[in-house]
Amino acid sequence: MYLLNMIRNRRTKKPKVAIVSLTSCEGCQFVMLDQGQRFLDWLKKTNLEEFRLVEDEPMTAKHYDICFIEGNPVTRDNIKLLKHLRKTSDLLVVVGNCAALGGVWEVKNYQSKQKTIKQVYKKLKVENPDIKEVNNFVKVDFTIPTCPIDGDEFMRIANNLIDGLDPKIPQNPVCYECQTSGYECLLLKGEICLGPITLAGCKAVCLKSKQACWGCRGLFDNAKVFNFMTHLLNNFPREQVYRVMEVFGAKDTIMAELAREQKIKIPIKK
Amino acid sequence: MEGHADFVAEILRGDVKSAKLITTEGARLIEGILIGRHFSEAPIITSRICGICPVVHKLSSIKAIENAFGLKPSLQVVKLRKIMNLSQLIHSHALHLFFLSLPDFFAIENDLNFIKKYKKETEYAIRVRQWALKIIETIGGRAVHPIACEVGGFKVLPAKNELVNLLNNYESVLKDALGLVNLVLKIKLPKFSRPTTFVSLTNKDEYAYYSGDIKVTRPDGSVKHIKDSDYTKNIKEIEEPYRAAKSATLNGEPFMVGAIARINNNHTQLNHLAKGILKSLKWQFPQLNSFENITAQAIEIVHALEEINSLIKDLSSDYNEKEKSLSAGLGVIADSNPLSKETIGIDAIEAPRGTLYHYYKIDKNGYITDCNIITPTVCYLKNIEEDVKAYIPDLSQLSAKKRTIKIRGLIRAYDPCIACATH
Repeated sequence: MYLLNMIRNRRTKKPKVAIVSLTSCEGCQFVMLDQGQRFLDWLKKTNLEEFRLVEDEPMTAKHYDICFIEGNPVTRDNIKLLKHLRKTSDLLVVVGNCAALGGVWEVKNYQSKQKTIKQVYKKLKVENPDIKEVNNFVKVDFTIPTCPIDGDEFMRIANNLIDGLDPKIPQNPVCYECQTSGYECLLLKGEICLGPITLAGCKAVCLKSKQACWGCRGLFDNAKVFNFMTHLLNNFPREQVYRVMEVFGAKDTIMAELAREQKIKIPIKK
Repeated sequence: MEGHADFVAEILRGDVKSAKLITTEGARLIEGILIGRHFSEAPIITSRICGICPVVHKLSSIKAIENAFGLKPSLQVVKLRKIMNLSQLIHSHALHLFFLSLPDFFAIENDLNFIKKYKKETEYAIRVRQWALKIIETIGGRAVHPIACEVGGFKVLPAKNELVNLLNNYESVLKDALGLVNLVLKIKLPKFSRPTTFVSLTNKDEYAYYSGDIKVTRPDGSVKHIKDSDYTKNIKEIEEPYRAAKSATLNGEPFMVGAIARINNNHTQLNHLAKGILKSLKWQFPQLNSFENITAQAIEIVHALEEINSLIKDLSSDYNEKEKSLSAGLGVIADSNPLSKETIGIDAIEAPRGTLYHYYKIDKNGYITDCNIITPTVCYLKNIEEDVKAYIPDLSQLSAKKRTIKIRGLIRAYDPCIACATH
C-alpha cells in the first residue's frame, strides 16, 4: 500500500482530513459524531479541513491526505464535487451503503424511473439519474460498508488509516458473527436472509434484533453466490428474493457475481 | 445544519423583494420508491430519510401502517416507542443546540473551534447525547437506523434489567442537561418578532409527542383542532422551481412547527423541572421570536429526560420481556393486507423539528399503491422565508458579513434538516 506508506512517513505532520457527504441521510456522519469522546480523540490526530455536518464554510484546501465520502452522487454537482475530491485527495475512502452499493435509493433502478418521479413531483424537473455506486465515477481506495456504518469498525479503520496501518476487513460471512454470538438462524427458521454471502463486521447487529440480513455490507471475497442463490430460489419465490436483495442496493453486485461464477462453472454449450 | 442549502434574497432599495432558501440536496424520491413495495419494507426504507431522526420516520410509518390494518399495539409497546422518540428528541436537540446553533451566537465561525473553547459544556452535551443514544440502542437494537421496531410491536424486547439500568446515571445526566440549559439561557438572542401560525400535535393526556390531534394557533390567538388523519385536507405541499425540497402551507398560509410551536401550544403540560425553567423566563405566549426556538429546545430536553425517567419506572413495574409483536409469526415481504382489501393508513407524530406526517395506501396483497410524507422542515420552509424577509430590514445598518451571520443564525435556529426536506 503505497499510499499508506506515504501517510506513515508524514507522521510528523497531522494528516489533512475531509469528511464530505453527497446525497444521503447523513446517518454515517452521525455515527461518527455519536462515537463521542473517542471520535474527538481521533480528530485530535488529524488536521480536519472539512466536516460538512458541523460547518458550512466553503471548501478552501487544495489537498487532503484522506477524504471520507458518504452518500451517493445523485446530482451533477455531487459528481463534480466527487471528482474534485478525488483529484485533491491521496486516499479516498467511501463510507456507508449509499456510497458503496448505491443505498436504498437504488430501488429506483428496478422501477420505471419516470413513474417513480411522478409520484413525488407533479411539475418540477429534478435530476433523476440511475443510481450508481461511487466507484463508477472515481477510483476508490477503501470501503467502509454498512447502512449505517458500525461505530467500532469505523474507529478501528479510521485510526488505522491515520497511523498508516492497512485496515483490512476480515473476509467472513455475517453467519460467522451471527452464530458465534448465539443468535437464532433466520434462514433455518424460513426467512430470506443474505447472511451466508454478506461480509461480516457489523457484529450481525440485525440478527441480534431478529431482522434477517438484507446484504447492506455487500459480498465478502469468495462468497459462493451460485450455491446460495440456488438454495434461495428453490425455497422462496423469485420475486421475494429479489425484493430483499434490492433494498440495500446489493442485487446488482450479487447478480454480477452470479454471472461470473456461472461462466466458470457451466461451460456454454454451442 | 443537516444537509446542504443556500439562502438568496433580492433587496431593492432596502425593500426585500424575495427571500429563497435554495436546497442543494439531490432528490431521493422515497415516496416514489415505496410504490409497489411491500408494506414491511416501508419502515426500513423511510428511516433512511434522515440520519438524525430515523426513529420518528420508522415509528410514523409503522403507526400509519397499523392504522391501515386496524392493529392496536399494546400499552407496553407504545411506552417503549415513546421512550425511543423522546430519546431521539434529546440527542437531536443537544446536537443542534450545542454543535450547530450556539457557535452562531458566540461569534465563533467554525463549530469545531467552539468545541475547543467550551470544553466543560462539550462534555455535558456529549454525555447527554450518549445517554439518549444508549436508550435507542437498547430498545431499538441500534442508535442510527434502529432495527427491532416493526408493524405490531418489537421483534425483540430489551431485558428488564437492561431497561432499568438505563436510569442508573439519570440524575447525573439531568445535571449535565441543566448545565447545557444554563449555557443556552446565557445567550443574548437577537430581538425579533413576527406573528405566525403555530402548529403541533396536542393530547389531553400529555405534552403531545407520540400522537394527538393537530392544534393550530393563529396569529389572532384563535385555536383550531384538526384530526390527525385530516392533515391531507389542510396541509398542502407546493413545488417551487428553485429547490428540490417541497414546502407546505396550512390552508394557504405559512406556519411554524417544532419546539417553539409545541411550547406555545402545550406548555402547561410540560414536566415539573421544564415548566419551572420556562416560568423563570417570563415569556408572553405565544412566543413570536423564532430565535427562541433554541430556548424551547433546551427546555424540551429537560422535559424529555423527566418523561423518560417516569416512563421507564412505570414500565418496570409489570414489564413483560417475552411479549410478542402483533406481526410475529407472519413472514416479512410476503404477507397480504390482513383486512383483505385496499386500505389507507395515516399518521402524525412529533419529530424533533416538528410534526411529521406519513400516509400510505396498501392494496389487498400488502403492496403500497400510494404514499405521501411531509416532514417538519417542509412545513416551516415558507415560514423561514417570511421570517428572513421581515428580519432583513432590521439589519440594514450592518456590514454584509455581519448581516450574513445574523441571517444564518436565524435560519439555523430553526434547526432545518434538508435531508428530511428533500426526501
